[in-house]
Amino acid sequence: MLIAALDARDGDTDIEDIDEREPDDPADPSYPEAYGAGKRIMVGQADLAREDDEQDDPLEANGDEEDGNRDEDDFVRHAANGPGCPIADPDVSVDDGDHSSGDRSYEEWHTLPGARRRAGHVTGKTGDGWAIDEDVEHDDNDSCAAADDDPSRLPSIAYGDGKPGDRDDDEPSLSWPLERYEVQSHPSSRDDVDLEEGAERLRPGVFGIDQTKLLVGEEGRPVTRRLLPGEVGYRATRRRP
Amino acid sequence: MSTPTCMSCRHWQAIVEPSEDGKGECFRHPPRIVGAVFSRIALLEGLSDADSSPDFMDRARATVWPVTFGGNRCGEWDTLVA
Repeated sequence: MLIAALDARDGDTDIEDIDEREPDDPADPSYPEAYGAGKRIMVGQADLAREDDEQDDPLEANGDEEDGNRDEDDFVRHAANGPGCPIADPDVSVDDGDHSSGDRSYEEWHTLPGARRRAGHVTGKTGDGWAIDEDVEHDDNDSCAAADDDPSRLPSIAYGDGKPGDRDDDEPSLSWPLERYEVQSHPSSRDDVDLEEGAERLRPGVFGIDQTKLLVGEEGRPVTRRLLPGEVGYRATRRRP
Repeated sequence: MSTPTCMSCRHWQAIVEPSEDGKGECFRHPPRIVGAVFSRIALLEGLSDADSSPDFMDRARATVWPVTFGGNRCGEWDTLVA
């Protein structure tokens, strides 16, 4: 059932528990339970809303936070994700490479082996940003070159001085804590695939971003679209101060 | 007169136990399909194809009453009936 799907995203429940009920059957005895699923989502949203209210810093008139730095001025652009892409997290920002910014230590983060790495530096917003913060190196990967040349596939990240569309030669990329997720073509079709320890199978169509997590793809960038069967995403945990 | 919050409103029902920080549902109006909830359900159900249409169960799941905290308030507040 749906709750199982929600729990599965947190690694608590197996995704195969998702119920496959016949559509348009008001006589379905599980009908009242279906309302409970939506209610549970609403309750979760209420919790998140309150959490955000309690943790957000005061805002200046221009929308910047009154915390004395510019990080949050470099908001992600939502429009660059392409048709059908969900909203990216506005807290992801690019800074000038100063590791001392924010409340995270550089050593906390890891580089994903085999992932696409390029020179640059990306950091989450101070205090309440995504947990992505690391200088990264160039790593040749021809399969990503075509995507790099296609502006429509660029992630919605502000480059250079933070102004949307202003790119430096050093292209920022991402790194993340190692949580690996494979998107299955069917909940039961890829059981033969061995996942890394701590990995979780996701269903195709799962957006790259949910309320508390940010998925990044093989290219080392945020996944701001639905994942396709067979794709692998990596989940970066949103950190709290 | 007490502060007119959800907790003291006749339309509100606590999910667990009435409190300022406790959550409850507002039954002032009939339940409605909430887009955000539906999107989440559609996402989890894999309704990504253009030819995929939501079925009855999907719509039912997304039909909810507003969830608020006991300390919230709105203009529809009404006194509790003894």
